[in-house]
Amino acid sequence: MSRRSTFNRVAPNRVALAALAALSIIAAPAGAEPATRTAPDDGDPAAESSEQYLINAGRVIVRPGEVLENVRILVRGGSIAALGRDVEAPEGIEEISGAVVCAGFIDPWSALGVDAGSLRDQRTEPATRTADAIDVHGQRHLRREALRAGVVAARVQAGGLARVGGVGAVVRLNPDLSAAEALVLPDAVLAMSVGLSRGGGAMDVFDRQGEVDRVRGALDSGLAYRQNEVEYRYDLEEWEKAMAEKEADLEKDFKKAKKDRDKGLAKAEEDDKEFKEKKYKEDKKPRKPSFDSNKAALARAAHGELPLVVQVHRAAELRELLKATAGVDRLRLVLAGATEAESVAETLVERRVSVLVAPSLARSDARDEWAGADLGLAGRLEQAGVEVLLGSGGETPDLTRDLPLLAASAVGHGLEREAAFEALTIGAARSLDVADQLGTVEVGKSADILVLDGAPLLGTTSVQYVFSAGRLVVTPQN
Amino acid sequence: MLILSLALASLAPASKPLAPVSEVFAIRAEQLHLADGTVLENGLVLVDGDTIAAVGSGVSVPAGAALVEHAGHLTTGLIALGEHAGGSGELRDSTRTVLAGGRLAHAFAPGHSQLEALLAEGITSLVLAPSAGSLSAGCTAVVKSAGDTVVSERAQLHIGLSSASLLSNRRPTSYSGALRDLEALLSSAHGDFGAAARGELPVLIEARSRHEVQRAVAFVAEHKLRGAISGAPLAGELAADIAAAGLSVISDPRSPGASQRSIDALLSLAEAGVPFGFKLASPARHANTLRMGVALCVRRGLSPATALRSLTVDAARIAGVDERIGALATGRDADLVLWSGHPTDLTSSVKAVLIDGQLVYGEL
Amino acid sequence: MRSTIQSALALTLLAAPLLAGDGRLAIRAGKIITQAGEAIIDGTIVIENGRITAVGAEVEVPWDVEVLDATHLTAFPGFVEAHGNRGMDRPNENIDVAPFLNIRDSIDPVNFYFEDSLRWGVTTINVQQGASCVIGGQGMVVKPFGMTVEEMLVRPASGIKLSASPKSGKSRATQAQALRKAFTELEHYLAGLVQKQKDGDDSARREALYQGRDLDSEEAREGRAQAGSAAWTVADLELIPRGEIDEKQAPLLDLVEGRIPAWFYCGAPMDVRVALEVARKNGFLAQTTLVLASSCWKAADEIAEAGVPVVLSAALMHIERDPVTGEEIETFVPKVFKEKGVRYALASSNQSTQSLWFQAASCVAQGMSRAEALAAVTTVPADILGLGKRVGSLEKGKDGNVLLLSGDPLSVTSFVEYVVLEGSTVYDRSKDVRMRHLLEGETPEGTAPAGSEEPKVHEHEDEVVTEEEPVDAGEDKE
Repeated sequence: MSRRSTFNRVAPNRVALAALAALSIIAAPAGAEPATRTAPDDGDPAAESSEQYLINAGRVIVRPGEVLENVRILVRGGSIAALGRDVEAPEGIEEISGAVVCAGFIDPWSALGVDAGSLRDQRTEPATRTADAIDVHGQRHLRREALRAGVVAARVQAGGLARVGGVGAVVRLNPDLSAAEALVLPDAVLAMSVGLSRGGGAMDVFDRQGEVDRVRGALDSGLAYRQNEVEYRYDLEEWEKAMAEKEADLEKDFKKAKKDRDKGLAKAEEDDKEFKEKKYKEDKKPRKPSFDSNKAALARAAHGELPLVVQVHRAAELRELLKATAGVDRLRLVLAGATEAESVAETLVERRVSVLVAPSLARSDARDEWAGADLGLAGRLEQAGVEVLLGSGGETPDLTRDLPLLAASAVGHGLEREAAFEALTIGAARSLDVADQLGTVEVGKSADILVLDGAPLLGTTSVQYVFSAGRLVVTPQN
Repeated sequence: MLILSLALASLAPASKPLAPVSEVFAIRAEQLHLADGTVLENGLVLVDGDTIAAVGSGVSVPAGAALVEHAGHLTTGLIALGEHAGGSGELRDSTRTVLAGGRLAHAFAPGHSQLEALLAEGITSLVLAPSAGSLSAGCTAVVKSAGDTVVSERAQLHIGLSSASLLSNRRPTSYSGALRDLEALLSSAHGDFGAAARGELPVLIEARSRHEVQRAVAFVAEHKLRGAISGAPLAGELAADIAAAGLSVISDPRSPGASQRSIDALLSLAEAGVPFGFKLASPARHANTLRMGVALCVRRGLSPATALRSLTVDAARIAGVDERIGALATGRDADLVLWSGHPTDLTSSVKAVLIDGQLVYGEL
Repeated sequence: MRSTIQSALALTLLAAPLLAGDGRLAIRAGKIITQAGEAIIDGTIVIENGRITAVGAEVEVPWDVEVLDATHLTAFPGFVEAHGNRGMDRPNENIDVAPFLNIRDSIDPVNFYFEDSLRWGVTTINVQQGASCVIGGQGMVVKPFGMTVEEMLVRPASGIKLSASPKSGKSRATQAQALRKAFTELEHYLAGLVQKQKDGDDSARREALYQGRDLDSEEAREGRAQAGSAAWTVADLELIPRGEIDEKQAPLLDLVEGRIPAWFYCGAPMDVRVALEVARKNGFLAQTTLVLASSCWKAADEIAEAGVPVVLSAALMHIERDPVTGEEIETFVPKVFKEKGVRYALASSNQSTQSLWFQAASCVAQGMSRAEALAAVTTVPADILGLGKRVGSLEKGKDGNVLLLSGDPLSVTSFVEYVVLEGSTVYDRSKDVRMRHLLEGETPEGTAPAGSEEPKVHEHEDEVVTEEEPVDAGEDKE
């Protein structure tokens, strides 16, 4: 067995990049549309990548349903700096040509790039942060393979298999990024699960109902916590006002009070009695509610500041969960797994609850809650009008790489191709609150994009180039 | 062409009544896939009864015959090797390590629900193979996933040369013991082993690790057998040796998450010209795994034509039934699948499946 | 039990004739490796009052100083163990955050580890409590000789132990959560104290106004404003006398103000980021030393950027398997840190045969220079401990900690013949009972190696035979 000692990282293949410079420029016909848009030259270029590229694209899928033909894209400073027919090519810039350019895929239910122990931890709390468990040093080959398959970012979750998970994070999968660069959004979603048997025996009906109640209880405690804070601030303000007034009054009356006291003191000395001070009473200051990081996190979810992803499969629990959370107005609920979601499809559409499906070929061990692979689920839900997202299941890191293939299988079993593409790009970005950076090909957004040789999600299409935060990380040569 | 009906098969649960289209009919598809990899645009298949009467671009449709136009792809039915569907409990004799004259065809349960799952993925034929744990469980059988057709009840002779074939409570318990027993069987010159020794019956050799594959290759060369090696995920790393021995490979199912190394091994087989097909091992594996494995290879660079061969003509050859199934050619069984797109593309869905000329899934 | 008594016995035997404890000694050595310049051949070291007053080739020895003739031996400064967790009796606590625990309560002076340290020439040891903790207790630097902890003391309060690597029952995410929580709770606690004080003062003022009393001029509060570079500050902390701060929180405040060193354990490369973040945010990055597991070489860039020193684990060769090719990759950890310019100290293994000299010799065997290797076990750990002016080299003014070796310090055939601690000869190999028993089979009078007189108990319960001599073919049995 050969052994090699190494402590140097492999530098990106600069030779390949130099070869790209020899590619010819596609002549841009002078046309009225589309207008060339350029990003304002703000932001610190030194903070992001200093690489820049010009992409000559046959077609750019800006977002599902919006396609531009024959445009050029300028990637600079980590983002899409310009997009249009008349984009100027600065001197000596690397040029790339491709048939189709689209946004990179996002896996909103991934286990890649996060410490495995944290993933499986059953004792996480709402305040546990997945951002602390990001491992930029491990699983490098898996992340590179995911990039090659076109998956540029993922949501990872500490306590992903626990009843109460932590706060999930959205990370870029490029293994050459530092943790700070990789974290797109460190605090993205809150996660919970209901009714998962976790390899033990089947749960009985009361336990299952108890889990739904626990979710509602947690949200309520968050709401109460926030409410307490608001009330405290109000009460404090009132009290401080009252005290200020009182103090002003006391200062006014001080001279008199002092005279009275001196008189009293003198009298007490005369009578040889002890002088008793006047008793002073004032309203107690309102007690500050003690800081509870868990309740604060739950409050954020209850108020819709963070989406809440709940993994749940069975129809009974789905119904109960939807009922229980109906009163939490601003809650942004996402159901993960949701094998039997068709039974509550109407409610889901009405309440705009998205469903995160993990198309899978696996057989389920826990038949009690999950009958196993159902590749047609995504298609059927989408047809019923439910917003469908696609993820790799959050248990096996290797599956993130094959999410596009699983999405393709879902298409082959009834999901509309456009819907699958949307789910993997802007749909996932929107649900994870990173739509300002990822999910579409627009000026000002982060350059996490793919250059393909055909339409995305087709079996004949392969990924040619992948940009991650404006850096070219995958080329046909590597 | 005789359809072998077995006494036991008649005791099997009654199979679903099949819907005939008409005695003679034709299907014209935008893309028709032939065995040699060519794709005919607007190719036509003419079916007479349960057989393909004609295939081509300029085939004339006789008067009175129904003509179905299909806006998509048409291929022959897919073949899954190493299958267990419907056979629960009957795939191996647990008390005998060698079941001379054993027939996996007895495990065939026509109409079983596990077979239905295969139809939805375009799989029309499957090779019932034994589960691991015996030195030789008998002969594999090729059956169809709808109806009660047994294409071959003596397709390949099973030989288990992997560590999974050796149990500790039954002889043989070692490789040397296994090889000795097998040599004795092969030299006996009668029955299935005799046929295999004479090259009449292909063998299916289970081997998992690298040295097991090497041992299998040496065994085959020594006894002048022909057949396929099954169950070695990295067999492709020995592609040259396997090609030299004239063997084929039956690949383990490749699921999402499969390592790149295992996919590259399959590509090495293709480069070396070694024919290979895919095990499915349903119901443990989802039926879609067959197409998923192929898609993983295509993504890595395998040509779609070679990929399709591994599910059709090469698989049929490995199972020794390429005269009956595995290609759209005159005289073959009328096992057809109508796809919405290219069959190796996962986004294609199965629109209709015909077996022996009967519509068994979907709509025309 | 028995071994403790015996070691105590042995120690007494060693100690009795040798404690010429006036701290005055002159050593004539065949070679003196000072670790501060060229080696001296046939030189003399003069130690008075425990400190080296002269070292050189031509040195005048005061007439009344005892002379140790070591002209056949090599003098070398005592090795410095920058971080160890042996030598304690019941060291670990179960609670997450225990900075108030002090190791003086758990160091066991008769622990075999200290006796062994003398054999291997380790004369300065930083013992840190809290191998499995979130925030552990405070350690101290000791010399491995003395009957009480006070006698052993070299420097108290050598630092607080923290760990980014999860203790049992936690995952990395929840461990990081507990770390951050400890400091957040400190901040809230202090803010609460300040607020309570202010509220009390305000209330007292209003009371006085009401009663017509002149408020006594405020006594000078003995508090101090929050010092240090933490990212958070508690305003008006000077209102709180330090003595009023809960003793459980006070050490953490000292840490935040940069008054105590921090020893941050990292079990994996991803822990380094969390450790540096926590240290930076809470103001003690400049006082932090990272204690690393062998895989942490992958985070060397981050460590170099932060400019903190490290203590390496005893496993100097990190071996891992490439997940793609299956090849074994070996990395020699000290080399990586040398390349990146990170200051590193070596640590002994828990196996008593791999003490500091062995680690240094391993470095040389892997191609590093003698100077580099020897520095990593003498001057560098001394600097890290803040004892750079006292130990680590043989120079005028430093502590008289001298080893007298039978050969080169890095040679496997060298023995430590004598150890001089602050001018007293505390170890003499010719009188080392255990060594002699091991190497020569001798059993000096008055001592008995462990186990030789224990009764042999046979399997058959009814036949307990106590033997004083080996049974001789059963003839003498009754």
